[in-house]
Amino acid sequence: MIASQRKAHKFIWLGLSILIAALLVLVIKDLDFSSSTLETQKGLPFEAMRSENSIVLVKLNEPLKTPSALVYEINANKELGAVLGELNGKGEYKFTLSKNAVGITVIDKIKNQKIYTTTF
Amino acid sequence: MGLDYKFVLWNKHKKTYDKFIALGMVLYLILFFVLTLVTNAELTVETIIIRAFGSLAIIVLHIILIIGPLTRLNPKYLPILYNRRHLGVSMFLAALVHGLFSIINFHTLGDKNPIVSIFTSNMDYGSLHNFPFQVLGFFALLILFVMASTSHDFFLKNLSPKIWKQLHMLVYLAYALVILHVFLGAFQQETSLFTIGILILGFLMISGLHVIAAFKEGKIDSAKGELDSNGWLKVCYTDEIEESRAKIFTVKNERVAIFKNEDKLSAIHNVCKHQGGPLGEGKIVDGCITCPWHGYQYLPHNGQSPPPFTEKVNTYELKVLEGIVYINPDAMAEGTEVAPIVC
Amino acid sequence: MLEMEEKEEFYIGYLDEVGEKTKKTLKRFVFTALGLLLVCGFLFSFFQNPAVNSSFDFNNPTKVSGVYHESPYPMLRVKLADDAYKDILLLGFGKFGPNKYLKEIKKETSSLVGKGLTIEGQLIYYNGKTLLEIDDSQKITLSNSKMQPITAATQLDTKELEGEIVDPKCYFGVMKPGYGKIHRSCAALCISGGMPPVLVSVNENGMEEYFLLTNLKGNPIHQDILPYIGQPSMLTGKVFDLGDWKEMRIDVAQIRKLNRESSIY
Repeated sequence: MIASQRKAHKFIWLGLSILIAALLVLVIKDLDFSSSTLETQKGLPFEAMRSENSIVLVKLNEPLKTPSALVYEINANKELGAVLGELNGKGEYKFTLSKNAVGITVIDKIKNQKIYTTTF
Repeated sequence: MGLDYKFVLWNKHKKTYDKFIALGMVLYLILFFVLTLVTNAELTVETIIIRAFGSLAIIVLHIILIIGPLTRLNPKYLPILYNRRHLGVSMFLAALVHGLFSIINFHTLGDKNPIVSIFTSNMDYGSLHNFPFQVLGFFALLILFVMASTSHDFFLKNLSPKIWKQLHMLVYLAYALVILHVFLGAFQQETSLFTIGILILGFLMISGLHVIAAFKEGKIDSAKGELDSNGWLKVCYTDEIEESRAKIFTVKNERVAIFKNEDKLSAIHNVCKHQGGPLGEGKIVDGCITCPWHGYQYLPHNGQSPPPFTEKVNTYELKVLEGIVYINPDAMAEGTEVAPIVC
Repeated sequence: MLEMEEKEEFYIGYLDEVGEKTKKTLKRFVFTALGLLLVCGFLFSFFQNPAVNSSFDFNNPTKVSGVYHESPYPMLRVKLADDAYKDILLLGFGKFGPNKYLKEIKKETSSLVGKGLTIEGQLIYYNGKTLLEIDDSQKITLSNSKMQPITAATQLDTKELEGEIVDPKCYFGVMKPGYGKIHRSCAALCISGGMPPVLVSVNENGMEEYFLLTNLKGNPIHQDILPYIGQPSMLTGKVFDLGDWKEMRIDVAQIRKLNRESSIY
């Protein structure tokens, strides 16, 4: 390199070191390191529990991968019974079962596929 | 030293060099894809491609940027400099994949021209935190494109080494843009101490090495010598210069290399005509001064490349009095014959 | 003597032989560089935020039938059971809303609202919300069957909510992540192209809530909201229950940017 290029290198790097360092301090100061903690999985994605005989509690710990989700009860003949309700995203759902229900099944009516079946 | 311009003048070392570049980049991409698919299976392929190639490009850019100062601090690293341009072009290709996928993903199939969209879809130019970081990446990619497409001796020669070097010094601007692109973009959304740590350490290493190398070089440039009554500069004792090697001195702000060849001294301008390599750190091989960067050669007594090559550098007059070497600070025209001085 | 020999070593790229000392240095550099490259690769890939399980049925179209309505954004109400239905938000191809694909079918009837439609498109779904991408107006047909009329929206409270305005197509499945600063330009293009702006807010139970944003009169907004997309903001407005979706009527000028990083998902 010729002398002027060596000089240019020196001033460019002195300048860049200070400039980048200053900008990085300003930028990092605003970064939120707490937001990116990995989400811990709380149990299974889908849990169904029967309580007090006629109540069924459904917990969706993560969203279902289906365009719709209807909850049906399974009657004593192991057949599809009445519609109990709909699952819409993460959360807890309570449904009232009829007396002879032996389980529930979750069906996506848009793609017509069974998602989960639980018997008690 | 090519007379005709071939796409690449292959030799054994360039091939080995490129094999390692390819090996490193392929291993990186495989590791990134496999690990992401295993630990983060829901991520879409486009996102993985954008992230894998973007992070690869920035790491390779770090390697490229430390080679220069490393060779100034320790000449043993010179072989890594020898084929640095292939590393540069490979890095550009990785950055291009990142850039093209980002533009296709985020800016095409809309109601605006994709390039217009880069500049107008986030108008917070007045804010540091919300700054449109994609614009920074776009300009960095543009610089890398210009550099990669002129990374050939054809352009080096036709633009002149000085302009070519100035153009390629834009990589420092590209580096600054890339760092800000990542800190104002990816790191705002994917804030992890580890990945941010990599780039902070990288920045400290790159800027530190450049500043240290610059100060080391500055010392040589600012060294002042004694002038005799004729205005010739007293430089050293004849036995301070090793056979087939040179010592470098600064004369009228220009560096001069004084070589010893078969106990005779010759002085030429220190700057190689090819890419400005330091000839005085080279060696005399088969009677020719050989540049340590890419092996360009010059004859000691006239500063001319041996035929059929046509490069010429300035020569200087020397005299030896009582074992002390003196140099005439006024350079002779490039390629002027100056009889070597017997020690 | 040894020192002299070391100094003698001189590398010339186009010659095959390389000195032992140079070889050693080269090996050290190459293996350090490769090692660091792979360590960085590990860190960059391992420390990525987990993506959510949203879905886009790319290249896997589904035929969906329901009642068309505009509330005020085009939707299809699909009956799932006697008392259950799904409001599927309609979207266009690429970064466009559905309207240009509905033009032709709108010519066939005086008013499309309340009519039965069958649309073949690609489903997008996440967290209880379902959307349908129409990529060709030929894939829409009017059906003659009698449809139940759509009940009017019921007004809920006025709310002040913190959240991020996103484009629903990317957020609910097409891109991951489909929010935040990196995605902001894409979201702006999508909404500019006619997709409804959606506010994503996290309620006190940590659950996400979604609001289709309209102006104070309940009409669609697109261009006016572009400067506020993809960043945490505070919005105030009357909330309406549309059935499957909620609508929030806002005054765009009253949106307050919070100047923080996006932390939804």
